[in-house]
This record gives sequence, C-alpha cells and structure tokens, in this order.
Amino acid sequence: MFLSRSVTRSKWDPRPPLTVGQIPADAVTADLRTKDNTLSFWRCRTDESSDLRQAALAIAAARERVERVEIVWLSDEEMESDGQRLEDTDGHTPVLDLRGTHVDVVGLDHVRLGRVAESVASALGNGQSLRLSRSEVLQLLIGAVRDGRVDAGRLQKRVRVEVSGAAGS
Amino acid sequence: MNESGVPPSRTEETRLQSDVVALQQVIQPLDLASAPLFSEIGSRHAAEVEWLARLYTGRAEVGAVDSTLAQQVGRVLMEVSLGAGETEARVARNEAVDQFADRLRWAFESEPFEDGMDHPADEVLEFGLRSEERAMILAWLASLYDGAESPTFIASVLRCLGRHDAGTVEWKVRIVRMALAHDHLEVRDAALQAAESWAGVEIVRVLRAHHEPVTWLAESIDQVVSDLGG
Repeated sequence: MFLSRSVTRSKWDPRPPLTVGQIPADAVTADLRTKDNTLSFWRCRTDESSDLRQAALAIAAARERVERVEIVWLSDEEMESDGQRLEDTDGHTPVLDLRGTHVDVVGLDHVRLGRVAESVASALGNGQSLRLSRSEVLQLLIGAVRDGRVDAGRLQKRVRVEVSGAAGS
Repeated sequence: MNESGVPPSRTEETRLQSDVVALQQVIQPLDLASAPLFSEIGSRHAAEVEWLARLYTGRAEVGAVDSTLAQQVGRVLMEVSLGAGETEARVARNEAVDQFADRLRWAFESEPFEDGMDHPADEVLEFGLRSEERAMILAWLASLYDGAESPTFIASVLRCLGRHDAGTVEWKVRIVRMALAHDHLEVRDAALQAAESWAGVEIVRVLRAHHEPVTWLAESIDQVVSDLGG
C-alpha cells in the first residue's frame, strides 16, 4: 500500500543558499500543513498510474477550482516503520467510494513532521510523483460523474459548472 | 488639452507628436539621468505628459513595453508630473498600486497558495484588475521579473493570476515568456500553470519555444501543449 498526498513539486527544489539534500522550509510549511497535529493522505493499492489517479480524483473532486493535481506517494510500511501512526478516517471528498481510502498520520510533533518531510523529499527525488494537468483533471472528474461515482451536485460551484460545461460540449 | 484647458490645435498636435517621438528616443536606452530633460519638456507641455502616460500605460497593458522600461517610465512620468504641478492624482494612483502590492503580499504571507482552493489573494487581484488603476497594476505585475521580488512571491502571484482574466493576450504572452525565462524553477512552473489556464494559440507558441532544462517540468510543458491543442 502507498500513501499519497498533494504537493507542489517545484517548491521542494532547494535553491541557494540551500543546497542539494536540504529541504526548503517553504515546501514544508506550504505542502505539509497540519491540522490538529495530523496530516491527510489517501491510500493507493499500488503505485500504478490507475491507482494513483484515484487519489488524484479524491483530491480534485473536493476542490473549489479545476486545476492541476500533483501527488507524491510514500510506502505506508516505511512510514510505520519510521514510527508514524496511521489512522483510517473518512475522507472529505464527494467521491463516495473513495472516502474509505483516507488516512491520517496522527500525533505529529515537529520531529515526526520533519521525518515526513524527509520521506516526501526522498520520494520526489525517486520520481514518486504524478502530475495531472488541468485538462486531465477535468477529464477525470467528467468520467467520475458519468460513471455515477460523483454526484455533480456535491461538487463545489466552480468545479460543477466547468465539469457540466465540458461534459455537455 | 493644453495648460489653458483648450484642445491642442493641429500644429500643437504635430509638435506634441514630435515631442513624444523625441521622448521615446530618449526613453529607449532609458537612463534616469534623463529625468531633467523630461521635467523640462513636461513643464512646458502638460498635455504630452498626459499623452505619454496614457501611451505607456496602454502599451504596458498590451505587453508592448519592456517591464523595466515601464517601471522606469512610471518613475520619470512621476517626476514630470511633479514638475508640472500635477501631483495629486498621480501620487494617489501610485499609492493605490503600492497598496495593491502590499495587500497581495499580506495575502500570500498570511496563507500559502494552494492549487484548486480559493485564496484571499484572488479577491485582491480581482478588485485591483477591476479598479481605475488597472493599467498601472498590469504594468506593476509585468515588472515583477526584474529581480527585486522573491521567486516564491512571484510564483504565488502567477499561480493566482492564471485564475483571472488579466490583460490582453499580448500581455499574458509577455508575462508567460518572462516567467519561463526566470532562473527559479518555482517561477517557471507557475508560468506553466498560468499558461495552462489562460490557454490560446499564442500561449502554446511560447510554451513550445521554451527550452526547459528540468526534465519533469519539460514533460509537464509537453503535456499542457498537447492539452491545448499544440
């Protein structure tokens, strides 16, 4: 199993005075924002594109605008062996069949968060990321609505309008 | 209108045009040391100062003026208008742009920009782009690439800007081109995001012409070009 989460890959690129191997604090504060000392992830059965796209769909369908989605994936076993605690929780996404794939990494303090950051940086370095363009995200959403996995009425207004417009054209 | 409030005659217009041409020749290799010359011309002819101001803000809006040039011209025009005693309106306009920039900085400092989610900066941009200072704001937005602003701020502005119908096609093309030429990966990536939202054949042309050294971003650009019908 893998845990995936939305990131902005370009933020993880260390620029001077940081050097290769250092993790930009901006990336951590922007991409790893915790809530109640937890960090939200979506489970993927494999690291195949089709599974990763399901995580991307869960994320995209919960957003307020149709924009590109970029995710990083980490091994859940490695996270647990690194001392991270995982808790399955219902995900906030209108894709009903994906709600159960949500997991929180809980009990994070600054040291544990630092370890998550190291895992993310390492994963990005290993090419464990997937970016879907705006157009690909739109197609993903249209497909989910067409397949009855998402009730269009549960999408945020801007997303709903764009999905309906594109699906009808 | 000349200083007495009477529209310029044809002779005056011809002179005015030749003055503007002369000004433009001075502006091309622009050097702020030329400011006294501007002040002198400006104090003699308030009308062409206004004309020049409109010309440059208009050209900045369509992306026809180099951003550094636009910024410097703005400063020179400010001096000219100060010399001509027409201070208040112009000072107010510049203050409005400064306030807009401050609000934008504050918005990004208070909350990081997140893809797909509304951000306080959306409202700041929308309000600014609908305001009377729109042309000045567009010129300021085009001047962000001169090295004075942090790459993270520029990238955040770009990612947010892509959500709004800002400027003309030429202006957008210019912004994307300048941002793609930036040293920092985050800015180039943000340029792609804005380009992806703005779309259009001219934007595709700029993306295709860009030689991106970072493999994953180059692949991402190819994907967007393909999405946009390139």
